[in-house]
Amino acid sequence: MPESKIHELRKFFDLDEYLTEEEKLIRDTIRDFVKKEILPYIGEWWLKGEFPKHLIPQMAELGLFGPTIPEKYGGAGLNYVAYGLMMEELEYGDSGIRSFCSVQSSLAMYSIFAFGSEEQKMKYLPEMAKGKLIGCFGLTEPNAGSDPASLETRCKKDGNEWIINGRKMWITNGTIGDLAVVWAKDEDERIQGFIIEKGTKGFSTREIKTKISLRASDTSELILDEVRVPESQRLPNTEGLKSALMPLNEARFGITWGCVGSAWACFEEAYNHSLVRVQFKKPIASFQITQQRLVDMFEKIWKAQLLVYHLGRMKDKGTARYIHVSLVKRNNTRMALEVAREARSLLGAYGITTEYHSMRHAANMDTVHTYEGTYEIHTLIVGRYLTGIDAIDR
Amino acid sequence: MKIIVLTKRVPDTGTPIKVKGDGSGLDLSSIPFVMNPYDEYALEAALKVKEKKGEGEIVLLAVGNDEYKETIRHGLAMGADRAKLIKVENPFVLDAIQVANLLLEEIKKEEPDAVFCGKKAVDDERSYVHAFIAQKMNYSYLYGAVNIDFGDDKLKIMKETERGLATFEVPFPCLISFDKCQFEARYPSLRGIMAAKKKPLEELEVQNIPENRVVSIKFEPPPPKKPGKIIDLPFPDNVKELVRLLKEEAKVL
Repeated sequence: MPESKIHELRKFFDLDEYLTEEEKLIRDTIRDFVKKEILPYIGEWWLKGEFPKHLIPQMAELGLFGPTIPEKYGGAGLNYVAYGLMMEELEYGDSGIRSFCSVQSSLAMYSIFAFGSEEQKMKYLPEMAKGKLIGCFGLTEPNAGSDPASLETRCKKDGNEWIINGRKMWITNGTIGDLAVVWAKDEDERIQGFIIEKGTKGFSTREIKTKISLRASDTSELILDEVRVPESQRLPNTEGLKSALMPLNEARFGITWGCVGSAWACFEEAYNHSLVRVQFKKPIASFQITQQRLVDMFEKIWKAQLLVYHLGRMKDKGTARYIHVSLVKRNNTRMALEVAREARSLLGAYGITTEYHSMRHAANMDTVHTYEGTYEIHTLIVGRYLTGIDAIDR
Repeated sequence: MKIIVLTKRVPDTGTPIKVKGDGSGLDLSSIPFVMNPYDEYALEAALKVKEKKGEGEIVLLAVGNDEYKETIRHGLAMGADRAKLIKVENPFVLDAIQVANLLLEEIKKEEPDAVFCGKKAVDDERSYVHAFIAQKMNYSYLYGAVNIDFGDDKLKIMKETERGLATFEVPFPCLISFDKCQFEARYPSLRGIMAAKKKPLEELEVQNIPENRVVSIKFEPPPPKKPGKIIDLPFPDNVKELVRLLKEEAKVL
């Protein structure tokens, strides 16, 4: 029987050659963490519909929260390739786990880091890096998804306070979060950002329990009913909608890498299965159709892997623009969705259980494919760049 | 307090190992390497002692080639303060006494309060390097610790025995080797990894390596398992045949 050589396949294009010692060590550490602390239990958490909250202190100890922000605020000062590798390994485990870290780091912490006052940064960021405070990010609304400019949440100045009213929908970490970065329109139709702490009067959350995707993740609705916060809770350095969208670009960068991790997890188990599953007296890997499916997956994953590596180096150089991130987010979510479904199918009936990972990844990827900018919106963003014609908001 | 932690780079035990076609050695290309897991426990124990005492220096010491630096950085990222790598071109050909002698030179120079290490390396299972060092240094010596505590300037070491757990008090200077412990080795933190690149890693060139007396001459993979036998007969003949085979061929009945 042919022998599994996953390790060799993962080195096919020898990415290690192009990574620094620290980058490799970060990847290997997170890989080890995911292998020991997440993979054996994730199927059960997913079925129960639970995010593993007990891992938060350990994840904080590892430094998974806000790793790219400066050490002064509790970060590790990581470059973006290292951050990407970390996200790839986390999503090898589960998209819900990676989403938790994306929202804490790239959406909540990044918003405060980029648009907050020095006092806000010192008050919140170190505690968030320690995992003592969990953050969420409220932009999307029941009636404002792909079109965030149409958001209906309102904020009104009243003396030195702001009164906020509205609803936010599909908010990762909404219920377990200790604070929310919330975006609302003021009386001049300008979009403002606020840090709203749990327990503020009028601020409540409701967890969405009926999901059949990202089940190991908290997805909630935020309800803001006459919420009053002092001016000191407003993010002072924002520039309207552009600022609300910037953190998403950060998070999408993490998603592009995460998709590669998810796809490897699916490919590996389908590949191993095809070598040991015997039908018609031979391993199913000996059939031409199986080989073609394996090669297709392998080729797709490697293309995506090399793409994120290059994108990461560009981001570290400061040359990656939002259009690059959009193109890769579009490509890699589609790739991961296709690979997960293909792997599921190669596994036959085994593939539909949570003892295997592919079906869970496939279900998760259906979300990742449409959240943080749907496949179609990213298509139109890149389309607008190519043609100079805006097909989204004509 | 200064603790030296001896560390070795070994193939990840989860990976199947291949023997080179000509039997001259192992095919170690494209095999992931890790810090010897027992050494990881030793390093975790050293970190625990340092944290309990509130001060101290942990020095990693290894005999190896350039690739060892990756393993050493892992240890520095976990929290060791500095490292020394005694450079040899091919660490796989050295015998245990050679390795012990090379380590001994540096231990003498460092004058540590304690030397911690794994009870054995999981690749070649040589568990006598540290015994040799303890004897040569005239240290208090204990093999196979499973837990450690520090108090009143002494180490308390727990060992598993056939009759239960035994606790020993060990005075300095000492050498303790560690078994699989009751605690887990920590993961290096991302911040620890970033800090590790600024920690000193001294590379030492060796002038004369004494000749190795124990030389490996041939490697061969374990013989493949014999295929099982399927008794393709209807009941009850298949049971009769099975009993006959167990009696006459396997001779277990």
